[in-house]
Amino acid sequence: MNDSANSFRHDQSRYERPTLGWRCGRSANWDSPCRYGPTASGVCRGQNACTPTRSGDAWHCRRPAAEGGPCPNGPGKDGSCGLRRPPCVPRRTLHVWRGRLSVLAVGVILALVALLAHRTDTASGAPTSLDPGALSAAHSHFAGASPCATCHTAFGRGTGGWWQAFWSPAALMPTEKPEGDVPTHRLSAACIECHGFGGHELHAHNQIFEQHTDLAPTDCLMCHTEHKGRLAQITTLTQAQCQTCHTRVVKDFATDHPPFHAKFPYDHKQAITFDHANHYNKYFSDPHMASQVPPGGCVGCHEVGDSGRALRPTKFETTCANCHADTIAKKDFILFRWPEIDTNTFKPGEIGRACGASAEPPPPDPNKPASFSGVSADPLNSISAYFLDLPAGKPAEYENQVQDLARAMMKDGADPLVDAVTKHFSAGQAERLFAGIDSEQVRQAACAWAANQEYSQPGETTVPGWRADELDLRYAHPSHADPVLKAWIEAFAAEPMPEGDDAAARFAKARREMLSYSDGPGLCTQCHAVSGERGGPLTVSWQVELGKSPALTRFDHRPHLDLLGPEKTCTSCHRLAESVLSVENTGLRGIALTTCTECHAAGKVRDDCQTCHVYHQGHAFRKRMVQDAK
Amino acid sequence: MRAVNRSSWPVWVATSIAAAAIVYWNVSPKLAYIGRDFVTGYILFGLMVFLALYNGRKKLSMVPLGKASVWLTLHLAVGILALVVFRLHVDALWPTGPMHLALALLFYTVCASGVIGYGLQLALSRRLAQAGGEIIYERIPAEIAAIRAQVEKAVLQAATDSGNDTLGRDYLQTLAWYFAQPRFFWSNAWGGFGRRAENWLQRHLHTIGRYLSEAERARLDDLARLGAEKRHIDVQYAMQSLLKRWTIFHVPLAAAMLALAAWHLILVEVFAQ
Repeated sequence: MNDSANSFRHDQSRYERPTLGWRCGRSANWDSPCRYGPTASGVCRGQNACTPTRSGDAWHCRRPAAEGGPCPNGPGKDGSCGLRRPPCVPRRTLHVWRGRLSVLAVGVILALVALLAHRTDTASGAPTSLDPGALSAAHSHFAGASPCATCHTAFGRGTGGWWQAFWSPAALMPTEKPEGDVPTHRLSAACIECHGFGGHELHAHNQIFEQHTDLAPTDCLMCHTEHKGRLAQITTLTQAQCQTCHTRVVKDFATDHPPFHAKFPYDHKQAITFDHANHYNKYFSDPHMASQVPPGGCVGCHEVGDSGRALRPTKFETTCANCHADTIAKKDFILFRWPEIDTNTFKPGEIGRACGASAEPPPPDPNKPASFSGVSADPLNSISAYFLDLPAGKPAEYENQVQDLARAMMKDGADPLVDAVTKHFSAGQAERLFAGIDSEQVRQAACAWAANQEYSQPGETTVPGWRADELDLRYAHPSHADPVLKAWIEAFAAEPMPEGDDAAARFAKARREMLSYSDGPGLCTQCHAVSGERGGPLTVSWQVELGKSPALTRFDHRPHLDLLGPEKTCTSCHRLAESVLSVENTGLRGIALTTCTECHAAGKVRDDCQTCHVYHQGHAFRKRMVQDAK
Repeated sequence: MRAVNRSSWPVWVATSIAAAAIVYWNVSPKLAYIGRDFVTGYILFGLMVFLALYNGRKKLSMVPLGKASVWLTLHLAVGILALVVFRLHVDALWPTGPMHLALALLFYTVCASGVIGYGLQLALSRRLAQAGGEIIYERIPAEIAAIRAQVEKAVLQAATDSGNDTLGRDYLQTLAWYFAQPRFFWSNAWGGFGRRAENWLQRHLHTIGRYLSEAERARLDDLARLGAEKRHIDVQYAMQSLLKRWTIFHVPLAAAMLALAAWHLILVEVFAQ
């Protein structure tokens, strides 16, 4: 205490230090401690009250004043202290106990770490000091017998591997690198050993943006981290992560997101031309057509059962055919039509020798003036003109070559015509183009045409397929999606424009006739879109193409249909166009941002970036990963 | 010793700026995300090491390393900063994985013990000043022994003066317990200021006083005075003990946490880089 009993005078108090390792045993028992205290090694120094000194023959007591000064008895004759006490048992101080506990705590931690570090079989569920947490459900299934080593190349290589990983991590990069960029991070390298993308793995959105060539490489670990537990969503990104690069701050989808473009999401020509507005407003509401209209409105034509990004239309036969089947079958494909001939070049007896005596036309009446009037009054059709490389104008310009063709056909049937077509189209198409053709019938037709007669087919004339009829060699297609007619349309579409003005003009006319959506055979292109450069090769879209919406976006119809019901929902987003085919060839209006923000907004339905956008494009598993999994 | 006072505001301002900068860096969309966990992890480990240096500073009191009060302020401020960085680093209240959980548990326990310790320091230092009778902790046994010696001397003197051993027997039966060592620890520690001890002592002295002779009763006053003196020492002992002993939990736990954090750092460098 800070009174006289607690004086700090040198002769009245000891020098107390809280950091000493030992304290007097007597003090620990609440007794008066000795003046000297234990030694540094914990030995009691309080057995003697003092260490007497010798002066001449006498020993003198040196007990300090704080202890009461020299004792009355004084030292013994041998110089021993006259106030001997039994030794105490010094105790450790609080300071030492704290240090010991600290060492013990560190020791326990290190022991546990060392003990559990040998347990590397994390799959067994046994605790290990290497376990950073459970993998996500997706990764935990295929990690294999040595799951850690699948991604961590240093795993299982002992302390040498650890040392190498610490000081020269590049040495532990996978030796088998997939094609594309080489990542600098070992874990990213492990990621792209299994995960492939439609572009560069380490570029933003897996592609190079032409306007942003200075973008820094990306890394898988920028967004994806593992060992967050089986239920962790390691693909979920935050708004802030997106805006690491996207400088336009979109805190609120409804107010900050840029507006959709006017044609969204129909920013490309649809494979099937279907005027929704016309059908819905005009035909489907016509009472006379009520029996032919697919029931259920939109879902009568669109399959909602497996709906996802887009709703696939049902088959032609179950919907469109109700009204359009007859229209399709009405228009035949005429490959060759016997044209008007002014001058007959066939010599008497020539036809009879080639086709039989019965085919030989009767000799001209010698009483009549020598003139020739052809059975046909039509010019050479444009498709024949293209294959025969002839102008389709005046008879004088083509009649010799056409009669030569007839001579060849009288001999070889359809072969000369097949040869002429094959010469203009790519090799190997003849079988598809002329599938089912009766060469003998063609030969007989040629004989008739040479004899200046119309050919009359014996028997049934309404059987679909190739047939010669009167002055034509035509193909009557039986139904929708006929393979032969498709082959002819594809061949014409894919053929590039030939060189030379005349040839190019003849080809353009023939292709126009073939692909015309109003007059072409089958009227195929009335619905099936034709795309490509004008004058160049074209592509006909036979199949509905789904999901061809803007890159890096996604949409799922299912939750929308489930929430509101199919009939209510469709037209609330897909609004019918007021003018025909206003947005590409859909008959629909583009979808505006406000359509989405009616529900997707702050405080309503989820409206973060990943609701509609994806980061990666073309994600797929690499072959090696699939093989390893087997 | 208070860590928040007028002179410590630069430390707190700097800590607040540092915390705000780290949080901004962590959430800012302008900055790349690569290595975020590594940066926050290394910052956190550095803060932990700095916090541990406070204990070393106490051991090196002879070296001029700044005032202890400044170090305490820094210890507290950096501890709070470490909590912020820990939250950013883990990105959740609890991480996953047994080792990470153990590390988080140790971190939280160290933080909690630190907060409790600082709370004790704030509360008890004020009470110590109110209680008065400042005394060096290590000298308390000697002080108690000295008081006990005076008490026993008074009791013997009473027996000599009166020729009765009433006071001596009562001392052996009851009062010796009180003067043997500090008593009423928790009552004194939680702010009793020795009132319970005073009641106990007064009750016993009053009881025995009725059976004593005049000569003995004169010594009884000495016992009351020495008892009050010892009561002050008991109050100091209880409060100073709490102030010293809470570190028995805080320091070893912090050492264990640092060891596990070092292991975590090694694993991260080996496997996650």
